[in-house]
Amino acid sequence: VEEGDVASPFGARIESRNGVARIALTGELDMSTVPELEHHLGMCQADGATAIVVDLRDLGFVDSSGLHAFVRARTDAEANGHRLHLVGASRAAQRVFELTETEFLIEEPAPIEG
Amino acid sequence: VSSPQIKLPATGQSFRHDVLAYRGDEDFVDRTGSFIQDALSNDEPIMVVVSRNKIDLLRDAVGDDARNVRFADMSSVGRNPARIIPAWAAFVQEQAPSGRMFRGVGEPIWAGRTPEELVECERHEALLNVAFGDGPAWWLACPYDLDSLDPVITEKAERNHPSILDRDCRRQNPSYLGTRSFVEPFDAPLSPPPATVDEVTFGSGTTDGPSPSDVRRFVRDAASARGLRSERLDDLVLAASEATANSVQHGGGKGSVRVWSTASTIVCEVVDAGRFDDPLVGRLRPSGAATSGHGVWIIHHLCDLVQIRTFVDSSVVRMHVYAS
Repeated sequence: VEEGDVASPFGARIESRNGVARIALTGELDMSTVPELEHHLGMCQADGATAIVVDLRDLGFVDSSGLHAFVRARTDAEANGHRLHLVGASRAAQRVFELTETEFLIEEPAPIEG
Repeated sequence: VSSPQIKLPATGQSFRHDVLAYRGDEDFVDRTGSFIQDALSNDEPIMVVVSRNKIDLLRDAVGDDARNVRFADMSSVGRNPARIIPAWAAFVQEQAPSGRMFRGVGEPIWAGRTPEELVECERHEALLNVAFGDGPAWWLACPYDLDSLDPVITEKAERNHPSILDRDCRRQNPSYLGTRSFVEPFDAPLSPPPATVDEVTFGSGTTDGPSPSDVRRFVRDAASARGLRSERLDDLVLAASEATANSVQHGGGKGSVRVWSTASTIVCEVVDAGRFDDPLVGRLRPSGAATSGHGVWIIHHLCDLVQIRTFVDSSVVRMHVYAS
């Protein structure tokens, strides 16, 4: 019987509309895949996004390298003047935010509809 | 500072780390209860981290005033002894701005501690002096039960405390070791791994050897095969991932991971050629804006016991998740 999440490669799906870029992450975010995330963040910034939304709901794994990338992205956003929202933390993401007491990085979950 | 029950020598306002040796539960309640009531009558906030059973005894003894005492269960806070300093640091950070004295009671060692845990507990007691010695003034008393503990344990424990809190006086401890030994990394011996372990070596992951993802898969499979399940399995996989990332970034770029188990614990060990020079590594929470330094902190908070060593030509992070 297979236990836990099946390892999957890191992926980022990007949609851009009205200056808002949405990056949905999948798979495993660690020191080997952080550069890929930072590449996408840099592209969105270069395209003049006024807001970048990083969706973490399908992120199967994230460690402190990923956390540090989020912290740097926040600093970049403040310096550059665009908004950065981390939304929809998966269980794996939530665990890392809790362990490091950095829950402030993630937005409150949207109220459940219906 | 004067107090009704305990006469204090005229010391400067600094961190006090006292050993409080007692004999049995009744003596514990008497001595520790006095220390607590003394704090309360001086309006000094106090946090007491002892076993659940002793919290109950102290609540009964202190009575209504117990509502002004913050209690925490040492078997949870200090299951991994490396998590005790973070708990005290949070309390200090909260209390120090008021400028008033505050106190703690912490009993990290009890009769059921394993030999491996005892080594880490002693290390913890010694590191308290490093972590808080130069900080704000507060007063921590560490009870040790002479009736239930091996005299070798209490003797070693005493040497990590700058002063001794007796029934009616507080005095300097002539056998206190000081903090000089902390210029060298911790190299207390580790028991050798068993003959049969699962092992994999890793490199930077770009050109040679398994990627970080492959290493996690290896740990997941090896620990799963040894009975680890669900969240505990995820915890060990994340801890192992942090340790291997540490090796790649700070430990010479490569290392090896071993997994084994005993009747009571599942162990994952990461060995590399690095050094742990900071004695408090992973025990002081990095700020929320930090972009490094969370790795060992996370490991300590995920595992039931962590043994970190730096030997002549290698460093070891041995992580335990208990079977129950």
